[in-house]
Amino acid sequence: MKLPDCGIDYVLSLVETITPMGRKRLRELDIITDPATIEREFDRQEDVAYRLPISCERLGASLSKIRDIWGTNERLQSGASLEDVELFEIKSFSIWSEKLRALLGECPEWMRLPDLSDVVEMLDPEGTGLEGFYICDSYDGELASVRERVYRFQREKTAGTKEIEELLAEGREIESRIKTELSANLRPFALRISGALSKIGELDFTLAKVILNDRLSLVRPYISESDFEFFGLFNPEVASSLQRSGKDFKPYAVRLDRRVLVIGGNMTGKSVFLRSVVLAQTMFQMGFFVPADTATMTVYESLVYYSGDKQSFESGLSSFAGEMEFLQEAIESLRSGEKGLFVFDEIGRSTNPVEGPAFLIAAMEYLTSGDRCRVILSSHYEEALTVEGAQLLMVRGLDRERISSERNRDISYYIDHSLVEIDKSVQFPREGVEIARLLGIDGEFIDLVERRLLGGKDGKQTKP
Amino acid sequence: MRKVSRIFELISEVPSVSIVGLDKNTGKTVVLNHLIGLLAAKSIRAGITSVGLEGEKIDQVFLTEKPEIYLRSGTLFATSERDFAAREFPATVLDLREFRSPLGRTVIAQARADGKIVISGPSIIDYLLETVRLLKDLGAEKIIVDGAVSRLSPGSPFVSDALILSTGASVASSVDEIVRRTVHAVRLISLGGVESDIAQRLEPLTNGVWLLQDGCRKLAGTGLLLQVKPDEIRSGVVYINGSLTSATLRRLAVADVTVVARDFTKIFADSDSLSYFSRAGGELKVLYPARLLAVTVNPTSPTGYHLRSEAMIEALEKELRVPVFDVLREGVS
Repeated sequence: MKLPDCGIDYVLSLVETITPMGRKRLRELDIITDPATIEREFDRQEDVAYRLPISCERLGASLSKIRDIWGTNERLQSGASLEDVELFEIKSFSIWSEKLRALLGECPEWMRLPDLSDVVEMLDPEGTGLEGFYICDSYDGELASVRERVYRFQREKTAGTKEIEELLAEGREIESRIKTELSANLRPFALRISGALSKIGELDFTLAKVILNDRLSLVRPYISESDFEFFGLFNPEVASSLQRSGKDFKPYAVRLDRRVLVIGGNMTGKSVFLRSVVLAQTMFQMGFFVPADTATMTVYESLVYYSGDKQSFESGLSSFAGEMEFLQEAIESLRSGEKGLFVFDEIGRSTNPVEGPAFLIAAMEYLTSGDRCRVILSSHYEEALTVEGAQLLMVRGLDRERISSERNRDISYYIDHSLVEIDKSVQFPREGVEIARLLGIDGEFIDLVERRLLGGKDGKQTKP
Repeated sequence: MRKVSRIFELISEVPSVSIVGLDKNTGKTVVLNHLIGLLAAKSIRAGITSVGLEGEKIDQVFLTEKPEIYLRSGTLFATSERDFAAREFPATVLDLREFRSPLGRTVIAQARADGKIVISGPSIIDYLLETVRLLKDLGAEKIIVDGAVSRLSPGSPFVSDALILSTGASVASSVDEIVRRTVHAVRLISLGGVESDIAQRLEPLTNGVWLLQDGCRKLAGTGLLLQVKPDEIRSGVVYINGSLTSATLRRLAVADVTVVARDFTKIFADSDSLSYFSRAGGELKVLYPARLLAVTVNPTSPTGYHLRSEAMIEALEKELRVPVFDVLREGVS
């Protein structure tokens, strides 16, 4: 499943893994469509948060020592004779992996590391416990005697350069033989090492998620067959940019039906709401906790989100063609029997106001024709109110009381972003002129707009 | 003039030293090997790294073999994976860093017997600094950075506490010319630092040309684009955070102006421009001064001709206030 354009990149950029294996795990992240796998991801985060015998800081410090030796291990597995540097890598990895294993003690099964003590012993036959690797004398009696002679000749200067060079060369030959033997003896452990590498990657990645949960105040959602409900849903990216300008994000509390229509004027935040829902859904299906106080969510097999013009620009399509492409994708998903979540921001807006609403109404009808999909559409066409059987949500929009009582504040002060559930009898919001005025658009021009609306003296009247 | 007879006394005062050559084949390696030997004899654990044209075992121009460094048992060193594998002696691998170069990653190791190796440490300055830090952490008591061929940049005060400059017959074919070029280099390396109150104001400034008078304002993005009116900068401090070229220095030749470069490695002005600037009454300083310990001279050039080292040393000593050694003679060896 391709990732929707909902700001997930921002969230992923905040995931701070420590090891290259953890980073690899993050890079390979994909959408999960199996609820049990998502639950498992969640359980693991709770394991790290609550069931570790050590603190997260301690775990992080321990992980930071661990090298990625994937390439070297591959070479070991393939039967190569390893060089000193590679043997150092295997030794270093095994030592730190063993230390981490000891630290984790009686931990949950998924983070239990394989036993690499034999590997450590092979690479540290003298039991020094040091990370550094040296082909020490105890590997081979002959090596010890050659080195002893080199040492003596070099200290006492009792032999010529050529003789010492020959002895050094002899030493290198013996070392090379030892390296071949060592590699052969280590080979049976290659599988265990790769097991340890992936477990460490998983542990690192899970720790990074736990830290993110704390940093962004994310919550574990309940998984439901069909319910979709949030309290305190927010968008971390928008919230952080609002915070920089000294404003707060107003979280949403909402229960969503299978057919949802979000209406509201310009600039009231319909798009932010849709984006927040899609972001939460994407995070959820990537195994992350979600930005809310509580959340109940459904796992979908397909997720189609059309966020607006930007997407069409990026793929070089006209707005309308872009919109239609996403619509077709949703239709195909529905036809193939997938359980889909389809979210379209202002569907039909890029065509004329006569045909546009028809697209909106038809999309709602068609995409909910099966009983497994959920459709969330936003619109500022008044015809949206005629959609059959849809849950109508409205962004409250302009706070006229504030407009009349206080002047010259930032426009956001006058807009109430909260969502209310409404019925069809509601007066459809018409706030374009008012919002343009608050944005500081030229007064004379706005007067002309109003006269046109009313069909006044200077405007060409369209209706008697 | 303070006459120091042995180069070892000089380096005993500083925790780290870079050896930089004014040109290729100025005998840098001879100096380096000599210092390693001296340190080993005194049981001082040396840490060796280099900055260089990577993989240059053969001198690209003259095809004479680049001499390997002769390490002593116990010496710590940083080199590329490939050069490490080609070493002559047994060694302990202590660390491995992903400072990638065409020769692989950087290995930090310790020699377990005396023997030869090509040292090819990382060239990127941040990696070099990290390597120096690692060598110190692993117990190196004296760091020696082998500078790049004909590149003075590792002499930057950011890398080491002091430097030794190697010069010699390969720099030019006449004693006069060698002396002239060496004296110019020494003059740049020995430039004085600005007063600490000015240094404090200059340190946070970003790239560009800045004028410091009562306030501080940016004159240009780089020295190349600089247009100045003499009256504007007279008795002011002009700080060039970037390269300082001959042309820029000439434009700044105004009485009572102080021109400040970041450090000597950023100055690319020739000796005529420097004189022109001084004659006009300007003063050249650096934000981060370097400490030059000594100049070493190699009287042989790779093309085979040999200059009389006594004459060269005598001429240099007359001009310089630092000790001058002949790398092939007692002074060093």
